[in-house]
Amino acid sequence: MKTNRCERIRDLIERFFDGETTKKENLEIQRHIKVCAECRKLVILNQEISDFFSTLPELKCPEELYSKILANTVKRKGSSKKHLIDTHTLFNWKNAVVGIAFSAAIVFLVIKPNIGTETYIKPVVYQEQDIEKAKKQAEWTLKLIGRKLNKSEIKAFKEVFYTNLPKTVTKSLEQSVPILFGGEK
Amino acid sequence: MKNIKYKNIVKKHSGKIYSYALYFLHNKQDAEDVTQEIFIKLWKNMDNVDTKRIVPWLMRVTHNHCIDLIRQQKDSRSQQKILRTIDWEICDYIEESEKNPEMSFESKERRRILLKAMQNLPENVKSIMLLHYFQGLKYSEISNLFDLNENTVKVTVHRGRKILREILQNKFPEQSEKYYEN
Repeated sequence: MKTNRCERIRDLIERFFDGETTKKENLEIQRHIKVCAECRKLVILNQEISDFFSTLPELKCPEELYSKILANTVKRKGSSKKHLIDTHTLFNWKNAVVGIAFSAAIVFLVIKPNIGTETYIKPVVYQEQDIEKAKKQAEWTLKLIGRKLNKSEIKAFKEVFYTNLPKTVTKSLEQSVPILFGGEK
Repeated sequence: MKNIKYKNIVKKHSGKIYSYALYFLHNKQDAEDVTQEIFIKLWKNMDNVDTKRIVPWLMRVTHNHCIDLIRQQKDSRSQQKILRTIDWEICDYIEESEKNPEMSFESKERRRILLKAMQNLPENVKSIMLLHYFQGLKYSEISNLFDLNENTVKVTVHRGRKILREILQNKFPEQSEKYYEN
């Protein structure tokens, strides 16, 4: 039959199994469980549970599994390459410094030959025949366009140039595009 | 150097990890998968893991993997059926490993019941009890491992003991008296 004393002893029993009781408290438990079957039952059951867990065998890792683990890690072909691009190691300091130094070296090698020299575009030299051919082609194209336009369209076209453009631009157009506007050049 | 260090860790701790996973998951295949995943993860993180504190790292990662796996399996009912059917197979496997012929029939039967009951314990209770009793970790170590209050760990163990006591008493109402007298 449970008493108030049992309540205290039950707390002590739990603490005993947590390894937190003093020698004096252990003696108190011992004395009590000699006369109280309920509390004795609690000690025995707790002991059984504790023994059950602590005596569970540590199972041996199966040989197949052991070799599988090593095959997928240490013995893996090209594992070192994989490790190099691994995200954990990719962003560490060592790799960052090596990466920056490497890219700086490439930039230096590319730019170095051009330092102190001016780059220029070599002009294309055309033959006289080519120039004549291009001129004829341009004249022919403009005539074709001129034929397609009627008088009002030509008028409107001229107006656009004369009214909307600044005077300096229209003047230079008259000089540089004489064919279109009836000039001599 | 890294390879030798890694091999030594696998050799020393693979049994511990495999056992924990098997007792936690009660499924050989799952335990093997988890063990393999843990050591592949360790291989990838060898440069970042403090090898002096390898056991807490391994236990935390193993526990998290087991929990993830259980959550995945809870989604499919068929998986739960498989777990139940192979449960006794696991008990035989563990008993074979124990190799204790002197154990009485009743003791064996009680152990089997406890093994089965352990499987049905809430996940947090099961893991803390396994870490405390089976792996021999102190309450303070477990509390550090899971970022829990030490008192919470203690209360969880008390809760686990209470559940298992009740199961034993319900399963063996008559035999228990005799058992206690012995």
